[in-house]
Amino acid sequence: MTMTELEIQCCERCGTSLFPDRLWCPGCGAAELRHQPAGPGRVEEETTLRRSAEPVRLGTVRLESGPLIIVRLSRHARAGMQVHLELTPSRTIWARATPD
Amino acid sequence: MVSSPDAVIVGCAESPYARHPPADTTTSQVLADAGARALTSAGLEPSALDGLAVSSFSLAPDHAVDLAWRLGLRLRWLMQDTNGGASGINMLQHATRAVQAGDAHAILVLAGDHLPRDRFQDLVDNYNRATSDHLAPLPFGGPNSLFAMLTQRHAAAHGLQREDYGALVVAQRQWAAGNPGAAYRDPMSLHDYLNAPVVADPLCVYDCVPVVTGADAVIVCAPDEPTEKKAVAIRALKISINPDDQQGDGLRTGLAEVADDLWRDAGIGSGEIDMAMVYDDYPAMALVQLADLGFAGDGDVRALIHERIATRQIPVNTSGGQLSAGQAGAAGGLHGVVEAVRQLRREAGERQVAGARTALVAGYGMVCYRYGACAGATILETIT
Repeated sequence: MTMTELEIQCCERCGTSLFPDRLWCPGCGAAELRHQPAGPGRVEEETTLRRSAEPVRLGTVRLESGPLIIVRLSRHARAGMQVHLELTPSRTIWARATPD
Repeated sequence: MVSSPDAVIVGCAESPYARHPPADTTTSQVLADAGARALTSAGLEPSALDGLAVSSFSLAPDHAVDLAWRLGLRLRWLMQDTNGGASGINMLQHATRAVQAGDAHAILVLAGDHLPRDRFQDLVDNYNRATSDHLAPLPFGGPNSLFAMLTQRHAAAHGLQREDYGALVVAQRQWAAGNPGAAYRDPMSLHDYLNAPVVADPLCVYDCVPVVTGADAVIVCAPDEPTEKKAVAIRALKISINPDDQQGDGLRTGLAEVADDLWRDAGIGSGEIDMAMVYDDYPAMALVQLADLGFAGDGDVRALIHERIATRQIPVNTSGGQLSAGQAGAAGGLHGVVEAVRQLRREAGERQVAGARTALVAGYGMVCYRYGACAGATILETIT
């Protein structure tokens, strides 16, 4: 499966990072928003969906650039760990533990 | 609170909540049923209505005007609201101004849904663009996962354990025992709660609202509109939309920003209100709203739970709330209003709060990405 690094919006005027996409920058009002790689983040919380066919582990990741992102946690990614975010063609955002 | 109110509520009703409705049930039917019951409650004929507001996730392909037509209503004022758990308070805000301005004299406010399993799943996965693009593909299991993580943050912030949330859930189930309309009325112990199947850690099945089919209705009139039945005054009302761009922790709703204005307009404080109906999609959110509105004065949420809610020092969600009565889609935003009006009209049966004259009702909803972005609250008062 081809994975790509998740991209997020960045305001070209004030530098605010945004996810999900906004229509203009809520910080400064600029319409110039370009996409850039999400970069590293850290898992703040995790939960497990117990009623699905098999348990699904989800987490909240705070990117170093600011935005909070809801992710699927890969096997080794846990709360407190540094992760990077990948996107599958079916748009699942996976958080993978970043090797120390 | 002695001045003339901006508007009054002269009737209220609920189309009975059904966990397993008949196969031929439709959303329009349950909305119409709630409307008919509200007219009976108000002692009014349909011809008395000249305004209609409706909130529903499942009315399509019909719109508000189709509902008006199929109900045979001749109107001068019409609105359709899309604010989910905040829709009840939102519609009251608009209806209040409409009767105050004279654009309408008697407005039927409806909210309800019939969401069979497949339609519910479709609603959850396509709630908005951010959800269908970024949450549904995870998959995310609906809002349970988001509020599971919010509840973890809430528990950490206030030093709460599952037993503390359980005390709120058990207290609401005790209220539900007195509500024939509640989906779940059987006694629940803390042991039952702590041993219930987990849905998404730390939330168990009793932390998540049971989906039901049903509808709620109230009728809003100008205060000088002659009515035979007891009227309840809308003393104050405030809403807040998107207070933090979804970049907070979700542990503070927009109610915190409007609370001072709300109580000032009402002319009373949170310590003087006789009951509170708050939007309980999850126990943590009921507590967040109460705290935002000043019910945990020194920030001690555990004391609020055990010393005020569990003891009924402040009656909270006396219908059993959505956690026990059920969540009928958008009706959840009006459910607390209907319960408060029933209480203030002394029509609450076994669960009647003796001597209650004032009630706070709060709504909350519309998860844009990580938590609800809409909130509103109103203060209602008995008119004698």
